[in-house]
Amino acid sequence: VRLRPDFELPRELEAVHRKAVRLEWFSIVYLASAIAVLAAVLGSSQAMKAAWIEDILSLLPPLAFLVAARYRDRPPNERFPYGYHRSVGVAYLTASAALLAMGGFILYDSAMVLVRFEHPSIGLNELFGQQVWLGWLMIGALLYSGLPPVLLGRAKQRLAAQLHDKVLYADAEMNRADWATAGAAMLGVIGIGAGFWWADAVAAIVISLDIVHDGYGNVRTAVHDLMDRRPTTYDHAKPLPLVDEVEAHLRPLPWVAGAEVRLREEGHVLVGEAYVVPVGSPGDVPRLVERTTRAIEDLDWRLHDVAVVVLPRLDS
Amino acid sequence: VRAASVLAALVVLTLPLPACQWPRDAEGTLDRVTGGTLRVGLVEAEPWVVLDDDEPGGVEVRLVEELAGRLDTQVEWVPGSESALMEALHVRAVDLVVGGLDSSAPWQDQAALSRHYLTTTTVLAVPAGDGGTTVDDLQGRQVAVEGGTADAERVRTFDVVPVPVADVADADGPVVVDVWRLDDLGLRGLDATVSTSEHVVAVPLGENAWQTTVERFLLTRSGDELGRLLDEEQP
Repeated sequence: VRLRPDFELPRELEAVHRKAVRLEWFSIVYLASAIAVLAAVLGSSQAMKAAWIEDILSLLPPLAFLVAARYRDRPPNERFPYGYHRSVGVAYLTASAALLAMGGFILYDSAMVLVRFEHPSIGLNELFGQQVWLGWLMIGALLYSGLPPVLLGRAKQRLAAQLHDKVLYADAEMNRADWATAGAAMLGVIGIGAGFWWADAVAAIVISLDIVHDGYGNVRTAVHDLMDRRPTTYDHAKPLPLVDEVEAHLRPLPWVAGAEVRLREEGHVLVGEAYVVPVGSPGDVPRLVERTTRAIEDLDWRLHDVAVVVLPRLDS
Repeated sequence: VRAASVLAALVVLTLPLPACQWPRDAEGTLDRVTGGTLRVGLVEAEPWVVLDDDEPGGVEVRLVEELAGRLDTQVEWVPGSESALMEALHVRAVDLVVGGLDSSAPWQDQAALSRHYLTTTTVLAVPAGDGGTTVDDLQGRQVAVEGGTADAERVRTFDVVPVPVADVADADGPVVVDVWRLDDLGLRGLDATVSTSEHVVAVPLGENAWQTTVERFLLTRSGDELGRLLDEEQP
């Protein structure tokens, strides 16, 4: 069996990746504390429950990223000759499916609260021997869980762009939207306090719609990635121009009469085939193929294991 | 910038609210009860609610009477089963249910349980003169415990032999008893908690002003006051 060559990030990106790993570890520690703080003041508010579950779910992308970071270094072997890049995609799909399912559950749960006219209550709690309305503590907890992720998300988004990392990008997007969840939950809590029993369930529905939206978008992307859709930029906004760039590199080569390229994404890296029709008497074809393969991989750090295939003509 | 402005709007919107009644009721129970009538569901549960005589008695009945006095409210007692009263609370046919309710009661969907105002524990105890006896000494020995209670089975975790009795006050030797009864019965509690109960009352869901009023009243009762009320209920 011929194994795929080992992949290594460029030296300057190794440092960026280490920074991303540190940031994700920090996220997990912070999220765990936010989850604990919210759990302590959960009460019977539906919106609080939704915000709490969203915080728990936002552990998934950092975990997926860290699991992938660990597998990234694993060299291909006899059992997995293509290496472990696809594990990122599997982790990503699992996390997104969980997000979608959970969002759907909260949506149903909150809608039923509304349908059954269930009135949530928030009573008193004791803090340092003083009686405090639990709602104020909830709002404090929501501020703690809602504001820091905005800054975390911004930092992660910068790194995701540099690393061409879609899991990191999905994580950054979820973090950046966290203030909206916390804000909606606060409105729900304040609504209960103001005697508007429906405000809480409405806030929870808004939050769950956001989770469903996140989940749907991510499942879509994860499925498309696993189906080898054409490579896109880290934010899925537009196709990567690399296919054209590789073709543009190949066509002017003296030994090449025609060339077509097909690429797919596996985690960080792009792999695929470059189909080349040689000119009449190209010379030492095996050496030309070897040199061209190396030249393609030098075009961009993301290009990895692009096979140059020599054909008599291009139409199939 | 957008996040900051939304949060600022939130703060500005909520600032004037605490000035008036906060939190507020969804259906205005506190306003209706104050100076009006308070409908209280009673579940018989000694020593919290006692229904032997014409007039109800018990620790929680006394507490409700004191609260009603402060709110200048006429109390209407509604005795019933716990299930029936919780359903009545759900549809707001009563305003409050008392009767030895515990914070672990499974009524979350029908009612709002208050914050617990008192925690009671039952312990293994020996006669006060029985100096030096420890939990280990009781292993394999008979211990009197009120029959038909969960404690009668739970106490087996201390490797003792439970003997069900009608009232542990009549028993000699080791017993399982509420901590608040120790002094009166001349008993010494051992370092062996059999069960713990967090006492709560139930109010209708969504009545935040009413709930916090009841909770504030209960939470500001001193330990002495509750102890005195319990002592009055000693069999």
